[in-house]
Amino acid sequence: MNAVASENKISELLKERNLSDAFNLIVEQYKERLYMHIRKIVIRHEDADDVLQNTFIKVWRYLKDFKQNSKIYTWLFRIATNEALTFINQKKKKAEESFDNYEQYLSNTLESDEYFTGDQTQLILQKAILTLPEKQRIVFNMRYFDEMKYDEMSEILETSTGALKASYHHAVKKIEDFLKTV
Amino acid sequence: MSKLNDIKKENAFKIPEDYFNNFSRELETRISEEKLKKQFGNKNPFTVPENYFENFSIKITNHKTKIIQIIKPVISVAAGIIVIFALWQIIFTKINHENNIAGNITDTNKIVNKINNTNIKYSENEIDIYINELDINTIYEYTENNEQDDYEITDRNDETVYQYFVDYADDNDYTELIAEL
Repeated sequence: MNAVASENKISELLKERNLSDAFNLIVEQYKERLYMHIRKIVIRHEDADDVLQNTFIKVWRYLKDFKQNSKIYTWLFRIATNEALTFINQKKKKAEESFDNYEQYLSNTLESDEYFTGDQTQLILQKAILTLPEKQRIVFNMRYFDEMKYDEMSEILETSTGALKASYHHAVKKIEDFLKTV
Repeated sequence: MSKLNDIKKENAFKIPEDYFNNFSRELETRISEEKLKKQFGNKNPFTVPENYFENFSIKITNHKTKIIQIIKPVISVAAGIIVIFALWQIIFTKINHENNIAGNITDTNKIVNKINNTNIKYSENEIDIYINELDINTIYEYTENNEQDDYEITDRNDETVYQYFVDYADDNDYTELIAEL
């Protein structure tokens, strides 16, 4: 089932108030895309797993209230992004308490991560991305890797397309500045 | 490296094998948990009595002192029992030792008597040397095996005793004893 067909099927099930089947279909259709979206934010697989579970729990909890004013897809990505940001902020707070730099920690983790298959160039790029502020990092990942359209990103991140374009521009600049130093 | 365009655009993040097989099961568990929470809530139904934690550390310290106070007499009694037992052991060992020595002396006397009752003539000096040369086990064995013999002489009238001394008295001076008889 392609993305559009599954979105329609989910929409139908929701209208029928068949929440259980709708939820199962959502999990099946979006788990991998949501995982990758989350993983690029939290970096570690174990953390991505936690956040993905939390995301689906939220989906399960609020599915009955979903009014279909937006696409299922954007609703899911919004929840996933917020969950990932909440997770990161909690981790940062803990890191601050122990006087550690969380981004630096993630950057170091990547080098020994068995689920990171990138070469040295990819590692440098990820380290450059990790120097960005979280929201800029998310914008960069969505645009650069997922090639998401600005209006879709705007729906997910609840930010204007103009602000997103500016954010992406700054992100690219910062990354290139970082790459010059390597 | 200065341009982002120089870097190949690829997803370097890998999903562990079988991750999504286990994920569905884990998610199912989490959802069941959520259902339970929804039905029963997850509030802690236990409450702490009012003012329980006030002066909690003092209470703990007092409790520790109380425990020591309870244990103290038990320890004293136990120590007393150990001392009594140790003393009893020492005394018992000493008594045993003395009994053994007494037993040895009795056994030695038996041997002396036995030798004196035989036809073999030994001087006291020889008997002493003989006894000293024997180890205690041999003495025991000898006395045990020949104990019965000591009581076989039943005919102990004055005449036989007199004859015995006349026949066997050698170096020893039994004249006074004979005279008395």
